Amino acid sequence: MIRKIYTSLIILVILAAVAAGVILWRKWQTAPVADRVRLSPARVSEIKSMVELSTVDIYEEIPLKGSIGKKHLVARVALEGSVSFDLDSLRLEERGDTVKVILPAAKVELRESTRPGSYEVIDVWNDALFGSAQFTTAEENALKRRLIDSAEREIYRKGYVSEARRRAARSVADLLSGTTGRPVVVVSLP
Amino acid sequence: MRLTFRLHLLAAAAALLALASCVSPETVQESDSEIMLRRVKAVNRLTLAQMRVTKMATVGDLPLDSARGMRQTVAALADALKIGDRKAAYSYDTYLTAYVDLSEIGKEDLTVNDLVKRVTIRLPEPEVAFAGRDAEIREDHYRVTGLRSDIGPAERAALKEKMNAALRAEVEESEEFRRPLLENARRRGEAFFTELLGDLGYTVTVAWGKKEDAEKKDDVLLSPPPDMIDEWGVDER
Repeated sequence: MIRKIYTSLIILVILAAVAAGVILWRKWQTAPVADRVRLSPARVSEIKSMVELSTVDIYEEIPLKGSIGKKHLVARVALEGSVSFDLDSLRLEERGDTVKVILPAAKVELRESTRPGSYEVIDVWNDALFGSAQFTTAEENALKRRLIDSAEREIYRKGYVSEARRRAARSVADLLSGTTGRPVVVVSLP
Repeated sequence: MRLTFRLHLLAAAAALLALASCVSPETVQESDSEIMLRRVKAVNRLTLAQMRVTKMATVGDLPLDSARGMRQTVAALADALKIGDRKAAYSYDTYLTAYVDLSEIGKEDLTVNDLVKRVTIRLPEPEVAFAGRDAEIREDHYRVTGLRSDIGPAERAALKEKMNAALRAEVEESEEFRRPLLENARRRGEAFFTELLGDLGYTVTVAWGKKEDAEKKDDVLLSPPPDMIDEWGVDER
């Protein structure tokens, strides 16, 4: 008899424990996630008027492999940008019936893309046995700046700037000859 | 004797390697051959305004008094037991541009009267687009003490991803960003064409929107409201 009571009591305790577990698990699942990050609302820092003609758009994904001392960082970075011309400094000269336009120098601007997953750290490590593998913000920024400088040089090397200049010259000539009906000659600065 | 010579040779090689590693403490591999993806697209876009938007985020322990629900309470308790503090604030800038697509301008959008030197140009409505963000992140505050772990590149990358998603949602939902940018773009566009062609002796009128759109608007204004159609009758001839 006593044995039966004990057995039922044990079963009851087990059932109660299972029920409590299920309730706790469900509460845990529905509870708000613990987030240690607080985001402030975005604010407008500057609005700038400009007149820039972009004739080539670039999007590229490149690996960032950088080292500082014995620390190494490997990441994947997506960059986006364009080759553009500041038309505010466009110079016009009239030679008889012809309009001569001097196109300003090209500007290559690459930035990190705003598409999701544009910067992904793959690995960080230190060759020294007990050295810290963490990069400070300044160190990481320096590596990224160098990567972008190198990517911008690559844009020139690949000839995209020359192509952009040709397209810009055609675009400006079309626009001006269309509006004035006069022959337009475009001279572009290197 | 030979063994000593080899040992010297090895020591010299090790010293050379060590020297080589000291020459450039900060290096980034030029990775042209390793480019994963590159897309180059020809465009014909006139950017008329740019907006710099700043987003800020803080990283810190969860205070016990503001914890809601089980998960947050457990996390806050765990944070309270840790030795030291872990607080940081980061920010970075994202760029938005307003532009007109010049390839949408056709011959019908330009009207030139050479007799009175008057030009009317119809520009497509300016559009707003994201133009990238700063690759660098600003560390506005950093205080990690005691036995707490440093904030490293992977955590900063995840934080930037979170900030980016929130910022994109804010820009898409709120007119606060689009409206001033578009107003600036329209003003600058009008000023640019007026000055450019003004230098050649032309008087310029700038209109916005596609001609068909403008005509459609006129049609809507001229056509009777739907509930009046019956009254006006339908010509069945």
